[in-house]
Amino acid sequence: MRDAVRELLSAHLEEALGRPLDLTEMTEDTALDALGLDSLLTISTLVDLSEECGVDLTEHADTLETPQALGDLLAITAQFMESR
Amino acid sequence: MNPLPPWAIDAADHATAPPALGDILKGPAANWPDRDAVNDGRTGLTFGQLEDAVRAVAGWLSEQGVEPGDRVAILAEKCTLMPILPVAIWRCGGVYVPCDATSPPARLRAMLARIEPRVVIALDDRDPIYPHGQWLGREQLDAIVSVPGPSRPSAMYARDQPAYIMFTSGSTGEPKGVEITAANLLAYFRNHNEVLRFTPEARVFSVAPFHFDVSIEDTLLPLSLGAYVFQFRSLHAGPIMRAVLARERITHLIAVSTLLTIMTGDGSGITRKTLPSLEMVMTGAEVCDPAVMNVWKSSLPGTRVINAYGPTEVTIVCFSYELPRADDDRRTSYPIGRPLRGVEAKIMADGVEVDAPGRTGELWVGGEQVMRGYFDQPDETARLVVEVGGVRYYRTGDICSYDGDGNVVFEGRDDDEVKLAGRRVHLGEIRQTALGHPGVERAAVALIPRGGRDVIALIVMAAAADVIPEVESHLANLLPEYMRPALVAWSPSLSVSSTGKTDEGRLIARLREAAKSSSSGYFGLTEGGDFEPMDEETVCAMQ
Repeated sequence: MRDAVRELLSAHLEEALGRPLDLTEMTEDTALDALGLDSLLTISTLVDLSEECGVDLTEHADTLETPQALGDLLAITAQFMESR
Repeated sequence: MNPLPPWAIDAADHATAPPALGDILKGPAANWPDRDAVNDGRTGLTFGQLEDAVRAVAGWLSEQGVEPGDRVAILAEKCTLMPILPVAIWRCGGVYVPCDATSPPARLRAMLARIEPRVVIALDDRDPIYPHGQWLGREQLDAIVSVPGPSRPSAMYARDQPAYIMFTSGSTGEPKGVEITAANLLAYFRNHNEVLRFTPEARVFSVAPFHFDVSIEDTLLPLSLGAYVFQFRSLHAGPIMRAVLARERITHLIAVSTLLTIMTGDGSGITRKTLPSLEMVMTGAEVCDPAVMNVWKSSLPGTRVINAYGPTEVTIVCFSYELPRADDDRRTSYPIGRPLRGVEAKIMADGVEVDAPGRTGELWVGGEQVMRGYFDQPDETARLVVEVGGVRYYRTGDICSYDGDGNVVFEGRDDDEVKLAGRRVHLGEIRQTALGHPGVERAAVALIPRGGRDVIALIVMAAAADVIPEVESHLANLLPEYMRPALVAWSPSLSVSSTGKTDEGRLIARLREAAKSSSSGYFGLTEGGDFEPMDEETVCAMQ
């Protein structure tokens, strides 16, 4: 499961950034802006992810917060994958 | 029934004297103690609870020795507790200083060291980062708020005594602290509610961060009139924001253009069926694509759609323009319109006021909303606040003109200040910060288009390219995320002659060219004089 989460997320991040990205060596506290992801790119990545997982984002309106670190993104990705 | 403040829409309230700033929630709390005042999707407070919490926090601040004129810094967060804090500070006569809690600690420390707050309140649970004054963390704040405090009379503010300080990007490399007086703020409330028209029945969508002055417009002003405020703290994603607008039956929506554009999406979600209660949409803080505003006006013809304008220095908002109808042929942005009541304005070119339509000049905004000045920067204040005919004017640096109808149109800037997602960024501040790193001989900063929007690009001139990772970590220590460059390029110092600007202009033009054909975040200048993308791994390995 953990690897599948990383795999799906890195595919989406690579598309957003337009370049290859290797998440395997990175720790969960890696700041997203260190990856070149600003808040707008982060959010569009999450919207794409939710669509791929068939998740209705609006049902999570009160619990989601803009992720700051890689771990936050991985947690949301896992949450989306579990509910699909 | 207690009267509302004189900035209420109901004429019956206009004769009342304005309340003390620290008492702006008292009227609604007395009238409707059990009515929902504020909610962030997790917790909510009624007007009675809000006023009780203000008393409790004001009591605690007073025990810490907070007296009129003392500054209280807040490491802010978007949540229900936040509106309590400025009002409690004002009850003690203090100066509310909300800071961006997501700023790097070194930047926050430098700001705190400048303003020397008597108390720092952190809405998160971080360890204290400021050794002087009293530090209050989230847990302690929760505990204070839960115990009712004594009623106390509100402090009165002298005419030029500041009520708040908001920091904004400055060309010198240091953020500028804009000092707004209680008189400025009370004037703003009255002048702007003529346009906003908040009533006790209004339901307001609040999305502005608290270190941004629009949070006063979208939270404290409506609360002072008994309106309900939803603090949006979730993801800034279109579907989520639209769902919350519908669920919360929002009547008043205020959003910077970037967020309004995200909320609009393809426009199909903006209908009277999904947003039956929406009465007003206000945007501003940056140039908004007219097509975005047209979607709201044509889908919701009965809703007022307003373009607003206001530098922090003139208290939140000082100009507004309401779209009479959606103009689908319009390609340039809508005007910023006319000054609010109580605000005076002129367009100045070469020291002379211009009024012929189409002629451009610098917009000067004067009157009762003009700031007291910049905190601890009297020279900067003297440079930008000028008195003409007994009226104090702020020189905005915004280049404007009149259209044929007498509305003011924003044309651009006369310096390198830019707006990114509604945030004011002085490219000079980034440049100065980069120059502060040893080994950087020269630096150039510009906006470069990438992925359909503008991003910040930095070119550093240094002896060797291994300065790049060092400069990046230097910037990450001192600048908030939104001010950090997305593109960093290196140029050997030798390629630059002594004439400065034009060379920098040429380098930036070449970088812009190179960035078109590569999505890399790093570039280096080749011997041939062109920028070539650099591998991220190569750059990381330089450290």
